This record gives sequence, structure tokens and C-alpha cells, in this order.
Amino acid sequence: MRVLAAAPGGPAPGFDAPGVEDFDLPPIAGIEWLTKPVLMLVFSAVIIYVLFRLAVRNPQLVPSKGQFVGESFHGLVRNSIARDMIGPEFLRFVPFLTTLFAFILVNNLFGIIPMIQFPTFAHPGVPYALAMIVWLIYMFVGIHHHGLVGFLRVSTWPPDVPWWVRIILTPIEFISNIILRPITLSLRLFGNMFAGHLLLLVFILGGEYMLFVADDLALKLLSPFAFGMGIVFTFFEAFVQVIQAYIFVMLTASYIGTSLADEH
Amino acid sequence: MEADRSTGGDDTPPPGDAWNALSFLLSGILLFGGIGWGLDALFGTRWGTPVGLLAGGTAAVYLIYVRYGK
Repeated sequence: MRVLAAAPGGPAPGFDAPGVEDFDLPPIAGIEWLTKPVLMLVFSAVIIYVLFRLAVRNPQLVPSKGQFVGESFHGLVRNSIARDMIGPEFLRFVPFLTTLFAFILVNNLFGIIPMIQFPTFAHPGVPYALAMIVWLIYMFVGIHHHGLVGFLRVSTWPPDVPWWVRIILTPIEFISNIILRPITLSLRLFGNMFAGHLLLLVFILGGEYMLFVADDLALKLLSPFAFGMGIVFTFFEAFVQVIQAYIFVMLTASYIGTSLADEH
Repeated sequence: MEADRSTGGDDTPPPGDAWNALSFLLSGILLFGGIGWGLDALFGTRWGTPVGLLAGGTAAVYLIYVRYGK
């Protein structure tokens, strides 16, 4: 924890800029693995379960407000992600994609919800785990649909090129589609959440330092601008968090779609 | 391939293609840059890495053309 109080009488301490160590949250109740993000993951699952239960508790032909929101959410994933990206067999992937979207969205929004204010995916382990699940699914779907050789052919065999070009291009496609996909998928989400949280820390802790710790009157007077930027970037983060959840699910659907696509 | 799956009848490619193209570029540069770097280390030369990086980037751009441009 950072110490904000200045030493009495002495000069004010310099600003200790937030960094990676601010993401290492202490264990709760002395249990080594039990940290705030772990609790948040469990909490997010409970929230999503309860909200979806409430939405479908008493389904009506003319939906109630809660049912309408739940159905719109499902409809968004079903129509603008799954159907567009996967193609004719999209329906069986909709439950997974809807759950994935809700899970990432809730955990991202934790980053700006007061009192929680930490995006779970700012710890790279969590998006790695999600990306591995996605990798297993699109690999399994592809191998199940085409067979192992057929799947490798679809995903690493560029059509209509001479054989010597294929020697160069096939390794690139193999690395890109089989190895790099889960890595970029998880790092994109992690990086956005990590950077966003760091940005908010800089403005809000910086403003706090300027107002309460610094000796300079000019800094105290300027501190509202730092807090103001903190608020502006909080809204910006809300936007980034929704977009990143959408991109993760959209790319997952795209990968499943590529695994199912037939060769020409 | 992927462009054929878009449903709306418009010519907009699915947004996943753009990310895939970026991924091709990255893997091409990493792969051939890595090969060049390895050859440099093996033979004590100094031009393998830059040539590999450029060749990888070029090959990746051609791959993007083959997959999405044709």
C-alpha cells in the first residue's frame, strides 16, 4: 500500500507513479490463492447466473423489462456475432458465446464499478485460461468437422499458389492460426484492461498526490483537472471494456467459423 | 473463403479478417526473422536477421493477398 502522508516538517515525498506492483493484490484472510480477482470471478458467475435466471423466470409472450434485456443480449450474440461469423451451424455455439460475452463483459465492467474498481482480466492468467478454452473448442470443432488432415489443410494450405510458395506460406499460416491466435486473443484483452486500469490509477492517484501531498499551491489548484481527466477516462474505459468483450467473442466466433468453413 | 460467409449480401468482409491479417503479418515477421537470427548466430553473419524480417513481412503480405485479396 502506498503511504500518502508527508513526513511532518520535512519536504513532501516525490510522486510514486503507479506500476505493475499495484496489480499484486494481497491475499485475503491469509489464504495464499484467495485474492480480490478470485473473489470477483466467483462473484461475476453468481451475478450472471442470477440475472439470467431472473430474466427467464416467468417468460411471457410480451416480455417484461428484465426478460426483454436478457433476450436482447442473447439476440445480439445470436444474430450479430454467431450467425454472421459462423454460418449455417451457428445455433449450437450461441449458448457458449452468450455466456462468454456476459462473463467477459461483467468482469471488464468491474474495472469501473465503484468499490470494486479492478478489471479481473488485468491479470493475464485469466485471459490465458479463456483463450485456451477457445483454442480447444475451435481446434476440436475443426478436427471433428474435417478430420485432422483436412483441418490442417483448410487452415494452413493457401489455395491456388505454386508449391514453392506454399513452402513459405504454410508455416506462416500454421503459426498464425494454430499457435498465435490464442496468444493474441488473450494479450489483446489483458493489455487493454491492464493499460486502462493503469491510466485511471495515474490520473486519480496523481490528483490525490497533487491535492493532499504536494507542497506547491499551484499543484493543489490544478488537481481538479487530474480528477476530471480521471472521470473522462472512466467513461472512455467503459467504452473500451464493452468493445473488448465484444471483440473477444467476435473473434472466437470467427475462429469457429473458419474451422467449419469448407474449402473451395 | 471467409468473405463468402458474410450473410447480408453486402461486400463488407467479416471484421475477423482484419485481425487475422494482422496475425499473419506478425507470424511471418517472427518466423522468418527468427530463422534469419538463427542463421546469423550459426554462421556469425550480421545480415540474416534484417533480411529475414523483410522476407517474412513480404511473404505475410502476399499471404494476406492470397487469402483475402483474390
